[in-house]
Amino acid sequence: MSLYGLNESHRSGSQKLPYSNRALECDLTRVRETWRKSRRQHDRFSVYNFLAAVFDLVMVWHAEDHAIDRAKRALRLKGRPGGDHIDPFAAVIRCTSPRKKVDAKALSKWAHALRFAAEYKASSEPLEHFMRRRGGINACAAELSRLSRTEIPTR
Amino acid sequence: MPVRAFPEFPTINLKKEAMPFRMSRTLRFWVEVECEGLDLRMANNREVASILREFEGCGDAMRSLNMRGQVIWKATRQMLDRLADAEREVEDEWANER
Repeated sequence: MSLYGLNESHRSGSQKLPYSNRALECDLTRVRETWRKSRRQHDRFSVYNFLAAVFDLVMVWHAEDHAIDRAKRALRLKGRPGGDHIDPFAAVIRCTSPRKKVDAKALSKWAHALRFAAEYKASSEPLEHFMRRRGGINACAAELSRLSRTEIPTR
Repeated sequence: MPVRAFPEFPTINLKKEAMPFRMSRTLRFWVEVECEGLDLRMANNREVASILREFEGCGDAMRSLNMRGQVIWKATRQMLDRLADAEREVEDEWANER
């Protein structure tokens, strides 16, 4: 199975346009705005709006085969530390949410849950629906950890 | 089936590739406006690409995935809000003129 479940025809089917730093900045601003809105809502499920924005952005990057290098660019643009192993989901979360509000543990959990969704969610299913159906953010993150140690299941 | 039975469908159009950029209806309209009203199927792909990049760079267009996981282009909330404001202003002006 290909990483994140996108097949080659979907990846190569679109005409690829260069992705400028201005475009990257605009995308990150939109995700950050979603973060602010979700914080204002004071609803425990509002974090799904933010996670969906992160997920959508990274999945577009991935569909264009540039998830890692765009994540690196985003980190560089925002002056955030990177490291050798870049997880695009973690990178976008780090670039669009304040460090005081999202600690390392939460960031890691959200990134794991998003990676799980990227692997097993159908394109047509909304992220929130998928995650809640699979038991929530913690359950999705735990499931990915469990699966990485054991056999890969079906959707 | 004989091709001549349908003379109103010129086969020459079939040589032209379908539009390479999948776009939402609103965005397509505004890209066509930028192309001076030209049908995008007839427009130069480079021109469309440069308009899309311009729109993307100023936050009016964004890439997204459709239900089939394909990359599409759509108008951003910023652009839709601005269009809605402009429409409201025109309506207000019309109401005032009456």
